[in-house]
Amino acid sequence: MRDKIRKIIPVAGLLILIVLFSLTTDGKFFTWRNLQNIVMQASIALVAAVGTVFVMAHNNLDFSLGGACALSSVLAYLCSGGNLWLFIILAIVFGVCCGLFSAVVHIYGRVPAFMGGLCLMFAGRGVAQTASASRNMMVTKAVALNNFWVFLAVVAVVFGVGYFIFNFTKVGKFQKLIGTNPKATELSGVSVDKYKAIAFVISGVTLGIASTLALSRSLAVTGNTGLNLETDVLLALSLGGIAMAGGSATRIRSAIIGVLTYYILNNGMLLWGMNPDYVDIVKAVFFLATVSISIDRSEYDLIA
Amino acid sequence: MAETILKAEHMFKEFGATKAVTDVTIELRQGTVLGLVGENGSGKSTLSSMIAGVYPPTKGQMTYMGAAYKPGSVLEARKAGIQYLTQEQGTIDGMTVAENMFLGEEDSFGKGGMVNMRRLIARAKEILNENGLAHVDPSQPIEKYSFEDRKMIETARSLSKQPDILIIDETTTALSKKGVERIYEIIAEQKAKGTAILIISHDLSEVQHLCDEVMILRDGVFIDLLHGDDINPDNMRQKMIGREFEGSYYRADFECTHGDEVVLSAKHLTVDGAFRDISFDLHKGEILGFGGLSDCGMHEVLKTVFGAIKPTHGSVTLTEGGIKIHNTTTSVKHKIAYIPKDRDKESLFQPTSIKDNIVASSLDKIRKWIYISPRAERKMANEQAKIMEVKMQSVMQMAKDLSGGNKQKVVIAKWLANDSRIFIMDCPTRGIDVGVKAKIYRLMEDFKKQGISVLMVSEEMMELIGMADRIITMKDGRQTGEFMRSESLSEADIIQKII
Repeated sequence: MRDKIRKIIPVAGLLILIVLFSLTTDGKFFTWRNLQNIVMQASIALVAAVGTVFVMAHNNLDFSLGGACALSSVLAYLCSGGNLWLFIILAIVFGVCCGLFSAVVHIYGRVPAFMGGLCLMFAGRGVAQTASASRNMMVTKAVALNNFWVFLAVVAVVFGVGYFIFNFTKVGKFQKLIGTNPKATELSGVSVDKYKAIAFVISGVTLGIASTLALSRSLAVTGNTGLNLETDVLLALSLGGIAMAGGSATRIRSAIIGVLTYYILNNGMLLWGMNPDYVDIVKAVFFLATVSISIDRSEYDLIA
Repeated sequence: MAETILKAEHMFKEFGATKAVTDVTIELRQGTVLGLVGENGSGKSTLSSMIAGVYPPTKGQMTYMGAAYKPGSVLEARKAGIQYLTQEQGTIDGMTVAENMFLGEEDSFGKGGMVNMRRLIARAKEILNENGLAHVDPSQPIEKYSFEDRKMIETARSLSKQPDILIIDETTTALSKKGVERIYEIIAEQKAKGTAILIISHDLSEVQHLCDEVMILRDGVFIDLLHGDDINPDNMRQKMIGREFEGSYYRADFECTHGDEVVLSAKHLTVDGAFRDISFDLHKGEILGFGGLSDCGMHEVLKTVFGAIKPTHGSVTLTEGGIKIHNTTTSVKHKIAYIPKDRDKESLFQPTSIKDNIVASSLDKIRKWIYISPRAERKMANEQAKIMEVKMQSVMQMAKDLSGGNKQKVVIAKWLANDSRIFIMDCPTRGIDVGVKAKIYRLMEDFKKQGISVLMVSEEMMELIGMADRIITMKDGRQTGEFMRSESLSEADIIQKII
C-alpha cells in the first residue's frame, strides 16, 4: 500500500499542480500560448533527462550535463563555422565524446562517474566563457528550429526511442540489472563495463540534441549555454520519482513527469506574479516535500 | 524434566497474506538443546526471531522466567539474557574489533560520553583469549579478519555475559570445519552451565548429534516433537517433507560413468594468492567435484574457469571450436553456467521480478533484431519456473520474497533457459532444505543423461562422494589427490588429503 502511494505521488503532484494553476491564474495557465511556452522551456531538460535515466539506472549520477552542453556547443560551433546542420551533427559527436570521457574515468579510473562529470562541469563552463569573451558565436539560421512543433517532434522522437531502448532491448534491461546487482550481472555473462559505456554514449547523444535545442532558443552559443542543466535535470528526475540508486525500479516516465512538474511549477508561480527569487524558494520546499514522500527508502532501512 | 526458562504459547506470525507461523507452542528448558528443523519457509527462523525480539508476534504470548515477556528489539532481548546468532554477518565494517564487541555498552567503559578505549580494548582482549581467538587484535578494524573470524568474534561477544538462552540460527553453514567444531564446543559448555539452547539447522546429522529434542515444523505448523532414538536423519527428513523419499537421496549407482569426449580443459591454472598449477579435463556427462577446506582455493578455481577471475598463468579451453575463456561473456555465450556460493550477493537480483532473473542470460534467444517482447520473456520465464517447480504466485513476483530454496531454483532456471551445456556449481545446496536438495541432485543426474557436464565444489563431503564421478582434492591452493567414484570411498579418505 505504501509502495503504491509512493508510486502515485509524482503523477498526482503533476495533476494537482495543473488543476491548481488552471483555477488560480484567471485562465492564463490554460492558454494555448502558455502551454506551448512550457513545452518549449521543458524540451531541453526533457531530452537530456531521457539519456540521464540510462546512466542513473545503472547507479551513476551525471553532473556533467551543463558543462558538457557548453563544451560541445562551443566545439561544434568552432568546427562547423556556424553551419547549422554541421553544428547539429558535431554537437551530438562532441556530446558522445563527453559521455565517453565520464565513462572512461569511471570504468578505467574506478571512481564514481560524477567525478568525471564534475571535471566537465567546470572545464566546459570555463571553455564556454573564454570562447564567448573573444568572439560572437551566432547561428542565426537556427531560428528556423525555434518552433513549437519542431520542439514537440524532437521530444516525441527522443522520448519514444528512449522508451523503446529502455524497456525492450538488452541495453535498457542490462542497465537496470547492473543497478540492482553489478556482480550478479557480470556473473550472468554480461559485460558490465560495456553496457555502462553504452549508457554514457546514449546520454551523450541526447545531450547533443539538447545542445541544438538550446542553440535554437538563444541563437548563439554563450558563456551561459546549458547553465544549470545538470541541476535542472537531476531535480526534475527526483520530482518524477526516479529510483536514486537505479536498478529495477527505475522508470523512464520519471523523465517526462518530473520535467513537466518542474517547469509547470515554475510557470504557474510566475503567472501568479511571484517574485522569481521567491519562486526558487518555493521550488525547494516543493522538491523536499515530494521527494520525502516518494523516495524509496528501503536501502536505508536498518532491518529489511 | 529440567526447569522451563521460556515458554512461547500459541504463536502466530503473518506477513501480509503469508502465514509464516501458525499456532506453535515451544518451550526452552535449562541445560536442554532443542533442535528446530523444517524445510525453507517452514517458519523456523520466524519463530526464533520472535523469541529474539526481531519482530513481535501477530498473536501469542511468551513467558520468560515466570514473567510476561515482550521484547521490543534485539537489544532488549539481549539485555534480558537471550543471545541470537544468525548465519548473516552481525558485525559492522569500519569499526574496530573491540568497538564491535561492546556496541551499545560503551557507557560501562567511561563517563560523560567519553569512552576509555584502553580499558575497552583490554577487556576485549581478555574475552578473545578465553575464546581461542588470541590471534585477533581488538584494536584493528574488523574487516581485516575473515568472515569466519568475524563470526567467532560475534560469538565470543554474545557469550561475554552469561546468557540464559542461546539461539543458533544456521550459524555453522558458513563456517569451516574448525569453526564448526568450536561452535559445538560452545554448545556443550553452555549446556553444562544450564543455558537453554535452540538450534536451527539444515544439517540433519548435526541436529542428531547435538540435540536432546527436536521440533519439526512444516508450512508454519507444528508437526512433531522428537526424543531419543526418533531423532535420526531419515525420520526427520520424512516428517519435514510429509512423505517418503522416492528412491535414494544421492546417486544410487557407484559407477564412474561419463563420455570419453573432453569438453573443457584447464591447463596449469594459477591465480596469485589463491591457487597454483591446477590442471584437469572435464568430460561429457561427467560430474567432477572439488573438495577441500573453504580457503583452499577451490571456489576461486571455479570462478577462474568461468572467466570471472583472470588467471596469472594458464588457460581454460573449450574443446568445441578451441575457444579460450577469458571473460564471463564468452563462457555464457558458449553455454557455460555458473552458480555462485553466495546466492544473495552474486547470483540473485533481489528487488527484481522472477521473470527478469530467469531471462537475464538468455535475452539473445528471444531477441528479434534488438526487440525483446515482454510476452516472449514471460513465456520463457514461466516455462523454466515450471520445470524447476518454483513456489510463487507469478513470475512478476519479486525474487527477494522467495525462500532460500526457491531462490536457488530461480538461479538454476536462469541457466536452464540458456540451454547450458556445462554447469559450474559452487556449493549448490548451501542453506537449502532437503526437498530442494533432492531436486537438485535429481537434476544433476538428468544432466548426466543428457551429456551435460558438471563442475562442482562442495563443503559437504557426503554430497561430493554421493554425486561426483571424480573428486579432486585441494589443500592450500594445490591439487593433492584424485578419487574415482566407488562404493568404498569414505569421508576419511578425502579428509586425509585436505587437512
